[in-house]
Amino acid sequence: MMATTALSRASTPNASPLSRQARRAGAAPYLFLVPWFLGLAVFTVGPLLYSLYLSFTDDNLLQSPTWIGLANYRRMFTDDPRYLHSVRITLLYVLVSVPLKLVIAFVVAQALNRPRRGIGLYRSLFYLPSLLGASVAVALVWRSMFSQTGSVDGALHAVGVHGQDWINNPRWALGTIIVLACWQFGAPMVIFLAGLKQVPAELHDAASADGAGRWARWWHVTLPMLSPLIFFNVLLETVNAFQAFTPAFVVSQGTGGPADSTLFYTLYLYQQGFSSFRFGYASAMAWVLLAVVGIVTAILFWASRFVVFYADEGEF
Amino acid sequence: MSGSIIDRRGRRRPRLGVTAVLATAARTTAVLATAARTTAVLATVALAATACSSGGSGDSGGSNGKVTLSFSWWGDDTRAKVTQDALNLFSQQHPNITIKTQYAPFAQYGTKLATQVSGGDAPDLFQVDRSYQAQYSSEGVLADLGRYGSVLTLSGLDPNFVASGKYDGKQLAVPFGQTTQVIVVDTTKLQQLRVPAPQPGWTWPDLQAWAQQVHDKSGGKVAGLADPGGTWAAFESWQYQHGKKLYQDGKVAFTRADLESFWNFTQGLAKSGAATKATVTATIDGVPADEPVAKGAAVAEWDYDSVFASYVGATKDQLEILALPGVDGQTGMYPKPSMLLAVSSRSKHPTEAAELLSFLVNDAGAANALGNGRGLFPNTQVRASLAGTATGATKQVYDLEASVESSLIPTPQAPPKGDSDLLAAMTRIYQGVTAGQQSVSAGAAAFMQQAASSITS
Amino acid sequence: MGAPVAANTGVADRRPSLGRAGTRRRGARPGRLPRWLWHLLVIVIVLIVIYPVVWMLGTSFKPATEVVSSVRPWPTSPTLHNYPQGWTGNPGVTFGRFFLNSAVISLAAVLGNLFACSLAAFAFSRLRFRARRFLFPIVVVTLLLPYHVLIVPQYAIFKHLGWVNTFWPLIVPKFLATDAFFIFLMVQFMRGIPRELDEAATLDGCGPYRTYWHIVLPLARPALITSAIFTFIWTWNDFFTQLIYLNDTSKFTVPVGLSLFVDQAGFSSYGPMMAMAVLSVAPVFLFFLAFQRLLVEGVATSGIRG
Repeated sequence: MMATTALSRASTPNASPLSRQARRAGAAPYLFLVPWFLGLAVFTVGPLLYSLYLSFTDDNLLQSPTWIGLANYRRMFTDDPRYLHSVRITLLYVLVSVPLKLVIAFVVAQALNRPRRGIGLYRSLFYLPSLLGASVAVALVWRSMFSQTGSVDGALHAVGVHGQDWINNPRWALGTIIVLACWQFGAPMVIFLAGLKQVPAELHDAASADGAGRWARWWHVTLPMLSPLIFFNVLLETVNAFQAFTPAFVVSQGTGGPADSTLFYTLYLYQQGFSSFRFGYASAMAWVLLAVVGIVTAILFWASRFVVFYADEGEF
Repeated sequence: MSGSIIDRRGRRRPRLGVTAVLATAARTTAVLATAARTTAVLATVALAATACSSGGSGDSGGSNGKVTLSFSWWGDDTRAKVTQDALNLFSQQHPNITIKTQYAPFAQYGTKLATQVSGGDAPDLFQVDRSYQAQYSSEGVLADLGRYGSVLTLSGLDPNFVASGKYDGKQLAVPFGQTTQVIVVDTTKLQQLRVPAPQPGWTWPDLQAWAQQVHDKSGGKVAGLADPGGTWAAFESWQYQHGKKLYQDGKVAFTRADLESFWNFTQGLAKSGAATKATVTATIDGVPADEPVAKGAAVAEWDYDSVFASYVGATKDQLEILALPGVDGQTGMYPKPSMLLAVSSRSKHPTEAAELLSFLVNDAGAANALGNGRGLFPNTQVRASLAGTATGATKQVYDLEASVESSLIPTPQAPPKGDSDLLAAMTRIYQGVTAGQQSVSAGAAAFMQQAASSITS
Repeated sequence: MGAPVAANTGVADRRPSLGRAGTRRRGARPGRLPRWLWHLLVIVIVLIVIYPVVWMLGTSFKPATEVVSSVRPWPTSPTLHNYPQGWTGNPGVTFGRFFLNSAVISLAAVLGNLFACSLAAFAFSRLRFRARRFLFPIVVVTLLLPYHVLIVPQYAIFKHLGWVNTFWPLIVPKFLATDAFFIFLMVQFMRGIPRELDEAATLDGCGPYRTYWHIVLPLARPALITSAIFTFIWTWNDFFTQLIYLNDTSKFTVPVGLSLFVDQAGFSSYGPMMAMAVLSVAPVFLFFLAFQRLLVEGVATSGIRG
């Protein structure tokens, strides 16, 4: 659309200094990656492979493990109804909470992306819930608010919904955890906001000069420019939702209750590993999760080729 | 060219030949493999190093040199203060021993301890929960305390009570507090409702009638009893009251019919309103301040007398404790170790650790400092002298213990490995039953299935 | 989708001329909320969103017996008692110590992540090298494994290094870019920076190091600030690792300190816990309030000066 000096300069057929530069770059990428390599080698790959090994053993944390082959993996799918239950709970959570949270984050970010008095304070207040993390304090707040006489029930009463102890009812407990997850929408909101700021103003100007309306500009300029970050948020929130642990852990005090209604995958994994001392089994669960989330991630990456626009036009 | 700044037209990346791709892949794999090997070596060295440090017998420090002991326990800030006071006393008497304490809330203590043990970094002395006692005892994690008889005196404790710390005939742990099963009653509420307080020597039908009265007179607002159907230890008492057991020789000794009879009774209470409804029962989580009595949803609740003070602290009302309702005069109550103390089998200073253990279960000064937060003090002579000066909630506990002492049955053996699973399963499955998700018999069947997979020893 | 991006180095061009501004206003007017209505809507939503936080604040002024029995946000008989009681709740140390420890760890983690993750992200997003295609997926894979199973082997490594009961296990991994999330975040941001800029720099004789330092890093400021904010907050709130690695009370952090107010068979000091929870939010809230401005300025103003 708009030619710039830099662009035209680069496209002049004068490649020789560039390629000389390129040759000098030689080892540079690897030097930039040295800290990452070290961290990967020492703190990630070793423990990762060790856990893979443990997944084929009966490790109980206290004694040296014995090799039992695929028994852990078989047990998961044939002899453990709670495992399959935790898979269902987690899928439901991923499918409901991820879109809900992202839509809320996006709408709020869009609403806050304008120069208004007090905007910084608004932004910070919207982020406030995410500052709390999932602590014992948040757990107490949640249990109180969603109890029989709690504030949520009071508010719902006003609009004619019948009294209910939401958080202690197996039918609704998962819903309260989803609300908790969506309430803490600060992280994706901030990423969206930062992305919106990155959309160059001159693109909007150019588009409106071309006679594009508000929606057209949003659709043709904002959305494509934001797409790498939308993709980033979708991917990260999906991965996080698959691994959701802390909210259910603190609210249900580690039980996944009532009656297993908030038994997330990683919560069950944690219980098996550290409460039942089946660490080999927990490791196997972790690797199945890794495989599943890996496939989901790969699909998302593949899909992103068609909908995500990169300024550098490179591909991964 | 192995690296360059990507040029704008570089989005059409120069095509790499198949061989180049393979070579790159091979190189990457090689780098990763080396990295993995390095880490594996590191980890192996770490494990070997810890293995080497095991089996020490106190020689490295000696009783003359300076010794540093680590002591790990679970609890809250209140317990931290009293424990530190007791340890300060010990340090005064043993200037050569420095004690480093670690503590965590119960919910995470087990995770931290398991990680430490697994990483070869177990504390010298640590608290063990009775539900996990067999797990730690059977895996060679705990030192045989019989070898440290010169510094560890157990003669001041009730021999049968001490025996509950044994495993395979070896003294691997020592009870660090005594408690027993009771019903906590809110007498202020009873007076408001004009319902007479229940009397000792009551039976389950008495309890049912009384609890129903509370429900009716409160207009259905307050239940008589916090539903004990999901409480594993309540079922244990139920078994003893009926002349049965929970475990026998490390195996399950209860039947599906036993469980059904217990749950049919508690469901009877819950359905008539005598006991709490499902959503309130789900709040019973072991933290008294969160539970029905503190929240005013029930007038009575099953619990251990060692946590009575926590109930008192969580409500303005006046509370009493009562013996359990009995069957044919049998209450099934017994002296239960609220927790145990054990020395790591890999401790470098097991003698000193055993010495500290001995201090914590025998010394009058320690008893004074610790108070009753962990239950009655193990040394019976010291306990008796403290009972005389007790006031308030502590006095209520001593009075109850004195009144039931003669009727207590002997402390059973430690439950087998996997008991903690059943403790959790009881709550979980009963929550489903009382919420109407499954019938009593289906719930009992699911529980028996869980028992079969958890209790394997 | 994708309209091609044009980078614009001319500052003057980004100020729309009068005529263009006029066009834009005419085009934008219909469908745009009046200012007061926008404020009203946002304030109403803010109030709903922060209601639980208000509840926390109110509860921190409730006496012990009211904390559990009442679900009202405001205390009927307010007391300040919870604050001093919570502050001195643990033996030997005050909560001030926990704040100091948390601040040290969180700030070190911020430095570590900014340093290591930006280096890695620069290599992955701006440099071309053969192994990239294989290495970048590894970044993503390290995001995917549930960390609970890694705790035990990692603990063995830190034990071997003699780092248990020190801050090192909480800090050193950050300097080695183990937080793949932030590499990924920065890569996504850096890829949005027009490529022509570093090409121009290359033509001017900048090597990759100077391109990193003088071109990409200044332009990636929103990403760096976002990473700093997230790292600070997440480290500040991280309970699990801190609990596992820290043993001495004097080394405890705020989340570990908070967890000790409530325990089974304990006295469950919910009031003091709430009071300290309220205090613990204050520094992170101020941190956010201070830095969100930078986040907002972003590329728009601090932008293309390199």
